[in-house]
Amino acid sequence: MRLAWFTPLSPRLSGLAAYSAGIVAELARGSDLEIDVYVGDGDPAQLGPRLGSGVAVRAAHDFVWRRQRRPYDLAVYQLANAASHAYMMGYVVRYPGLAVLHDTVLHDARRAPGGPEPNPGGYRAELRYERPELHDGVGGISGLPVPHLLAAWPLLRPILETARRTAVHDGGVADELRRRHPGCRIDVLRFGVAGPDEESRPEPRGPIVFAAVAHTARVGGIERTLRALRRVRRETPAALRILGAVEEAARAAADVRAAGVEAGAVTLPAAEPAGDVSSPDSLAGADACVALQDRPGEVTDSWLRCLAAARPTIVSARARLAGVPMLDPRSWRDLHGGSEGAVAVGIEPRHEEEMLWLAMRRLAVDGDLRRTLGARARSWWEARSARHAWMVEDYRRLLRDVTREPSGEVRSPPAHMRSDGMELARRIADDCGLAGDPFGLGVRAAGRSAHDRSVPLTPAERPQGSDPVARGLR
Amino acid sequence: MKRIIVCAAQVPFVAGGAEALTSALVDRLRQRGHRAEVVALPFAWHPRREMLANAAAWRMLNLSYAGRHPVDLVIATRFPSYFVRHPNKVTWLIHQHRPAYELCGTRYSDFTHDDADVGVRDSLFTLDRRMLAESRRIFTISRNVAARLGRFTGLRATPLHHPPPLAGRLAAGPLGDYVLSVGRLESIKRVDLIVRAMRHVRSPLRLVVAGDGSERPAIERLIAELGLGGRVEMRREVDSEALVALYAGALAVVYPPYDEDYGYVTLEAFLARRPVVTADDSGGPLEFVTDGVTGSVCSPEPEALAAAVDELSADRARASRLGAAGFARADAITWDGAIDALVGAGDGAAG
Repeated sequence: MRLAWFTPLSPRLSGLAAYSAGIVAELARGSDLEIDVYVGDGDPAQLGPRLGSGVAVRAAHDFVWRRQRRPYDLAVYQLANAASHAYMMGYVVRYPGLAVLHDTVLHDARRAPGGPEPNPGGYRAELRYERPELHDGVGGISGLPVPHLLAAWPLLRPILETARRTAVHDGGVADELRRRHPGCRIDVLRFGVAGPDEESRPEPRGPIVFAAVAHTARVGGIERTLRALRRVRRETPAALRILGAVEEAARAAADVRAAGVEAGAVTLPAAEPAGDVSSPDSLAGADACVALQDRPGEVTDSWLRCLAAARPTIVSARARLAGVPMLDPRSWRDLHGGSEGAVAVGIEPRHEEEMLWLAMRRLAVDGDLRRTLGARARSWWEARSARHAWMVEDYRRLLRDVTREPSGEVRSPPAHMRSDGMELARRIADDCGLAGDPFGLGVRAAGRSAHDRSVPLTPAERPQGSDPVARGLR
Repeated sequence: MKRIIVCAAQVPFVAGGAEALTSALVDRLRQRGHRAEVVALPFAWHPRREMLANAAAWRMLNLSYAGRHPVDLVIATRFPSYFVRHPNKVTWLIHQHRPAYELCGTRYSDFTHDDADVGVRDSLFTLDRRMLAESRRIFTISRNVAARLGRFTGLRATPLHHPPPLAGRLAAGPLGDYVLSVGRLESIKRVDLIVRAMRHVRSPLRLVVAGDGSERPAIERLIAELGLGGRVEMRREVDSEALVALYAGALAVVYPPYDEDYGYVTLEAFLARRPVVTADDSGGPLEFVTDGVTGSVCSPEPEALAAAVDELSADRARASRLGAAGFARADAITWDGAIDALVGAGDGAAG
């Protein structure tokens, strides 16, 4: 089976870079899969070798002609709402395949630099297509972007309706998508994250260090963590290390200034790939982690990697994590009233500011709690998400199934998403009574007249001898 | 005698290698006793939505007859002239629409991952392949162009070299105190790279830049910024006589374009018995320039180009030897071979 796999790779820092590199290498190992990984930027020659045999890394610009020369059985798109995913937006609807959603809002990626060119008319058409029931309001939102409004127009519909299959890593997210998009084929891939072989969590020697993860999206929420840190530091020394994409560094620096936290108390995203939470060393200096995910549909591996590293975590108590035993930092009892030992501290969105402060304050001083939560985190991960093999198995099943299915049909897609560049030629041909077929490509099967002799029926790739250049030499 | 139409896609007000080729081809066909004409249509690639409509203009044409007389052969050249309809179409490919192909993703192309751009490229690749495959035979002007065609479309083509416009007029003079840059001043020609190299050239050489183009102001600014006003001479209006004289008096020709199709400059330098300094990503020139045999091939870095120039300056006898070896290569390329191949490919069909 031959796959085209769209994903950013490190050092382009997406939370998915390591995820994709791992899964692709695993899928190709010992199988008959041939995988071309298409990246939006970077030097494919430098990115490729570490992915192993059976995998080639290529520039996304090469996809179109490579596909024409030798079609793929399936294109796989690793979609998330970050600029590093913008480049694949021009392909995912035109060449439908398996869309793996790591976020159910793709608005930022769709409009980010590197993605589709600004096209006000097309943009409005996409907004209208996404929420036809709000048609009348669409014309009045030209003042976008407004982050919370964008979530109402996730720009998902054409992708879901076109995809041969859509996959997510969470059952709750899948149910919600099925409810909102009836008729679309949504599947669940079990999530597994590789972790360190052994628990390794040295005791802090100085002030406790929190690591902030999962802040790579534009609507990152880091400012709330910074405000909580500032409050914590009034009582006890604590530091924060922000892990994320290199391109986030400038924004994070501005957030630190705006929050009024001393610059020395915060380490900004590193200019090296090690700054990504997916790097094995990235959590080495962290005593606890803050993993606030802003959107209900966002599923990243960052939090799971913290659990695997046996770190106590503070996490958004979203509905999809309802089955995860969590402590309520207001009472330090189970947030959901369960009896199982908590593996994290949960933060309810409605009380986020207060709960986050309380959680960080307690974890900053309570070494026993940190140790207990860290050990439980590791156990929970070992029991539920450590099996990277589950995810690989699910991918294999999906790939096998999806290649047997036809593409979906977009009912009335915004025209610019399917433009083939021949619209003007067709209009002119129509004007001339040529039935809109200026290249004569669609009339070949009919009976031929003498005139048709000028349009050979069979494109031939005739052997032309092996005398390079010789004809031009004396 | 055959009636032959040479199809040329013309960018109004621009005269470059493609125009020189079609003009010379018609002249040579006539010299061989054929009736030959150029049919040219203007081509514009901006705005992008117009591009395939412009290509369709060629498709609308049926050049099978000129009045009541059948046209025996059409020779298509560069995109989109090979969209023309004729039962006896032979393509001598100068290039496809490069920004959509090998230049895509480089700074020499403005195609993006935008929906519309992806769509245009998909259509273009499909159409190119079909239109070119109609040809009775496909030739290319160089091995480089044939290799690109094979890579992107799977179509096979035979490279067919031909002499440059100044062939027959070039002669060697004494090796001078300057190196020469010839060509349009466009970013892809990388004349800025040569100017930057002059900062690192230790020998007391000047650089003479012959040509004009949209990059002229930027290059002039660069010369000023680098303080090279006394070492770099810009020649804007250079007629063929002056150019012959410049070739004749140069120490060497520096020609490091990015992935050139063919590169007349290389062959003209050789015909003036001058070595050529080029870059290892320069494409067409590498079919003729062999490092240490007919010139120097180095990385596209100013320091590397400067070192190559300094080597030639330090050993002028070597520069002469390399130039002479280049002459032998360039002098072997004739129009006769090209005409025989092109006309012969159309034999056995109409006419």
